[in-house]
Amino acid sequence: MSETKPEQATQLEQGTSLWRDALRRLRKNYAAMIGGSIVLLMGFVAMGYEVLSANVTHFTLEEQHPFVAPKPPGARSVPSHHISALPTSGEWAFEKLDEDGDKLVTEDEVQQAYWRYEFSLIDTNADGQLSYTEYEDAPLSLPPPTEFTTDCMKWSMARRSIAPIEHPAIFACDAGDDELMSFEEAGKVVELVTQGEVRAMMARLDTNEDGELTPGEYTAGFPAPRMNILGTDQLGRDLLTRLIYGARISLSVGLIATLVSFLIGVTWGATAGFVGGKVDNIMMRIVDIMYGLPFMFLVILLISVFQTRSLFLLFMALGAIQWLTMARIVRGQVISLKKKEFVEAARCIGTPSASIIFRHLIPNALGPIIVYSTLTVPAVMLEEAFLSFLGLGVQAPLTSWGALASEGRQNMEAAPWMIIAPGLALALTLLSMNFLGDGLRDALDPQLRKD
Amino acid sequence: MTRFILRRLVSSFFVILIIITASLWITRQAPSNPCLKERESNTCACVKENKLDYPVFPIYASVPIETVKQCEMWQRESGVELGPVKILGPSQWGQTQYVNYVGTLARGSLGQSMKTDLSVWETLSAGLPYTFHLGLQALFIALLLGIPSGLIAGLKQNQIQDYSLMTVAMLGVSIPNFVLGPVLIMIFSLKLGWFSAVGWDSWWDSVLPSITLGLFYAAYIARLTRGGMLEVVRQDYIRTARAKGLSEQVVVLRHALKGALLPVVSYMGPAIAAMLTGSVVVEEIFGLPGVGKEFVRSALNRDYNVVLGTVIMYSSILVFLNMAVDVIYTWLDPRVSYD
Repeated sequence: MSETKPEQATQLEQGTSLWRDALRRLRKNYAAMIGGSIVLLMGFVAMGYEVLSANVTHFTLEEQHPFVAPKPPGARSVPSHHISALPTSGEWAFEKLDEDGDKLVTEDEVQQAYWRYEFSLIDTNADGQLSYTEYEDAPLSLPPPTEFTTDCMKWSMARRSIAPIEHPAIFACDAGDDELMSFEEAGKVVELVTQGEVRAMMARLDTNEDGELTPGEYTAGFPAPRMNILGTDQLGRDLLTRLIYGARISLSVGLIATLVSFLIGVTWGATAGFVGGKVDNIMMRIVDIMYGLPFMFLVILLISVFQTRSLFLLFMALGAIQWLTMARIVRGQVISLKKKEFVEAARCIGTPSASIIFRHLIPNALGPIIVYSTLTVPAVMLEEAFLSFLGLGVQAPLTSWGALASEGRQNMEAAPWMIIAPGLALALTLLSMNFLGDGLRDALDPQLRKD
Repeated sequence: MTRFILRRLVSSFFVILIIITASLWITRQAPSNPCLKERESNTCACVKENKLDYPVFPIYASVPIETVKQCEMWQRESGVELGPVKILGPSQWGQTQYVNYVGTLARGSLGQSMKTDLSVWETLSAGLPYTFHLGLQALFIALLLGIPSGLIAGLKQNQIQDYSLMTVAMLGVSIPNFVLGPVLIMIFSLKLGWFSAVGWDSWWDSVLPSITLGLFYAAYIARLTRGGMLEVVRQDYIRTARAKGLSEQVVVLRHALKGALLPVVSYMGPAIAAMLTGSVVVEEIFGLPGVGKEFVRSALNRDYNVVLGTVIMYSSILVFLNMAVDVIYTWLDPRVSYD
């Protein structure tokens, strides 16, 4: 008998707290959970730029491959920073490269080797011949259909353009007329590494600067080409790498500016609500007036006039225009809470006002504050992107999704992937954050839930 | 009512004065100035013409511009120095840039452009028709799409119509207009060839920009209307209306809609402010010669008077729109008093 009683007592203690209850409701909201996972994923991606750049994309933020640019998604470039060397045996043995057998490798021979390599990559069934399907699937930097002629010569001159191939006229180069192209027939159709890139690589390996590589120099190793998964921009920089780095800037602007707006809004609203009376009236009038003002114009003015595109100014400026709604929400909460007994008790024992506000009132009003903060992050990110789009946001070498979208718009016709990728990243992240914010609101404040 | 409007007018006047002061202060604090890019021989004339050599504020009398070679700059005659704050004697107050600018405004002019021969008003009025046309059309799209879809979603709550409309609305508030614009151009101008990609020659060219600008607000208004609708349909007066046998149409359109639109009405002020801001980007994307494009160009060009003129014009429009919104709000919701 005496043993069961404490057990009952512990059972009674385990009520459901507000937060656990909210978490349970949030778990049931699939849209919010998916949104939250995507936001988390984006956060990890943004934090892991260095790791991802070295191991996944193999390119760095600033690395340029401008010989053929912009390249469409799936095209390949040769990394110059995170190099993983090709094996020096087999297909890449020195003897294989050295076709004329003079124990020296020239630029042309290197380019031939890369062409063979690329041909082997797109020849998916490894029969040494290229069918039209294989050709179509190969993401290369090839001419658009409008520049197509049945003349193989003219065709190969137009090679530098960028749109993917869509037309079987390419098989005009098919001399055997068997709808299959051998490597020789494909000829210089396959251009993985341009002359310029080969020259740059040769210059790196060629220690005695005679324009040719000896077997000794050769073993330092040619870099293996890597796929530009999302293509490159107009300077030949890998778009995925830049997108990952842009996530870092966009997300941190979103978070820090929200923090700034959080601090201003909570302090302002809590003070107004707690003090009340004339002070409250004046403070909230100020908020009302500021609510309808074109603040973005002042921010544009501030940033463009000062020409300091510092991140700090951006955080401050964006945070300073987002705190109004937060102030209103916190004021409403504080007014309803300050008449509660626990506040009176705190006042009775002589707790100073500031401590009542920050230790007692704000923690109790945390639910709506968290919900609104979650919804502020996408709003701020949108504003940062807006400024960057106008060229007033982050400055090179830094980049953000807005800045990438701005670059993309300038090359919209020739390289649509340049605006689609950052646009999608931005839209997906904002969508996830909005779903998460809505879900949190429904979970934390069931009264607000509209059902 | 009259007292309410009068009081709002007085406070609006002070708000606009504060905005003028703040934006003038921001421009005059810049490390650069409009005359810097002029040729050496013109710099002095440019400084003199725009009175940039005078102090900015009567109290805060730092001379904002570096001395130009062989150019007689304004000299402070008397005054007190209190650390960084230099107080001018009252006889010099009339000469400061601030008093000068406010005086120009008081004479009903926005001043002269610092870079061109046009007046600020001439510069702005060239772009205003485009910006207003764009803004009004976008607002029309936003209300026309937003209110009915919010209404349907609110009435068919937790049904397929609600879910699909609200998912679309969520997409709408998540796609930035500078992404939507180029995508629309790529699809409808470049691929299908229905619209021209840039420029504004006829009404047809305003369709894509208006959609780009209006879609976000349509989505937001749909969400607001749905929320308002859900709150209202539970009210007693709606039950009463139903109980006395009114048709569903009358209940929804005459009784519920008025209450459900309250959040939308109070959103109008910020929405119009944001649309004016958003038009900056949309004008940029579609190459429209509106005010927003002119604003960014002037800000980068340091044409202070055009920039200030734009900010003052927009702020005045918004302050008075907000006042109108408040009046409409009190009319729609009798529970709110004029205080």
